Amino acid sequence: MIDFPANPTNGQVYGNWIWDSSITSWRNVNTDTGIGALNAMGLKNVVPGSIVVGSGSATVNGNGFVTFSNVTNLQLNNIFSSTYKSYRMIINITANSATTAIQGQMVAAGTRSTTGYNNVVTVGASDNTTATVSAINSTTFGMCEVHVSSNTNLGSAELIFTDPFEARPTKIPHVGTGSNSGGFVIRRNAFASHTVATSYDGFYINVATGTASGTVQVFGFTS
Amino acid sequence: MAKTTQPKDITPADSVVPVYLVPLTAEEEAEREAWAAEAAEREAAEEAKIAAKETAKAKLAALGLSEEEVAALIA
Repeated sequence: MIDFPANPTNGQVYGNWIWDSSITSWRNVNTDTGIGALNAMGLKNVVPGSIVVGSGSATVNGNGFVTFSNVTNLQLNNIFSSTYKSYRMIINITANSATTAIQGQMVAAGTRSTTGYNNVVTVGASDNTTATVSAINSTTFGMCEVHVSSNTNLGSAELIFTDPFEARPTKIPHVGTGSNSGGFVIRRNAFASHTVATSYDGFYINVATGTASGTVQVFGFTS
Repeated sequence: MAKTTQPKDITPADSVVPVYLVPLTAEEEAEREAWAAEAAEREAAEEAKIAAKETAKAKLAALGLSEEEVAALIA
């Protein structure tokens, strides 16, 4: 017998259960497919309004899961809005044609912002070497680097955006996984900010050299 | 910078949102090359820094410093 809390409120979480006031019942977050709008983790998937690629192709499923193939760049439009203050984005590179950096820019109504990126990066490699780099007032910011020499296609970036839709600087702490020319795994811990204080609704992903394939997911943090 | 070429609708049948192809302009290609060069330069600087650190560690070890002492000097 589970000892549920008395007088729960809509969305209240208890272990693997969440209270749904519309049916005055607890729902199991792992097995109840009728969980609907309730979200125990506070993260909700965002479906982009549209996608623009410079080459290759892309597709988006009903959950907003973007799969892209052989792109030089990928622009996600209408992902940031007044619905959420903060967002999580996960970029996974599953194939790349050349050793490349994966870079990002904020987008407002289809137009990229090309100034004001500050990125402080600490790099740690699995060969036990470390380095720190900073890029101030750059035209873009680096999220991860993917090599083809070895550990090919080992690339991902996980970003948190705070205030992208507000007319104030966007804070973008992120981590990136990649590999260096020696084939060792690199973990980048980075703290980026974008200081051009405009409201942004999209994000541009650039493959600096060649093309890449992979996936992107965006989630909003329930306020 | 706004895209100036006409978008081509390449939305696949399984996509729930429109997907457009806008080939890069010559200006964007040049911008991309500059970014790639910038990234390569930064990466080379990172690797040079790593190499310099390893050389310094080796020199300190050759002077008789223990592994712990070298680590304390070069964090």
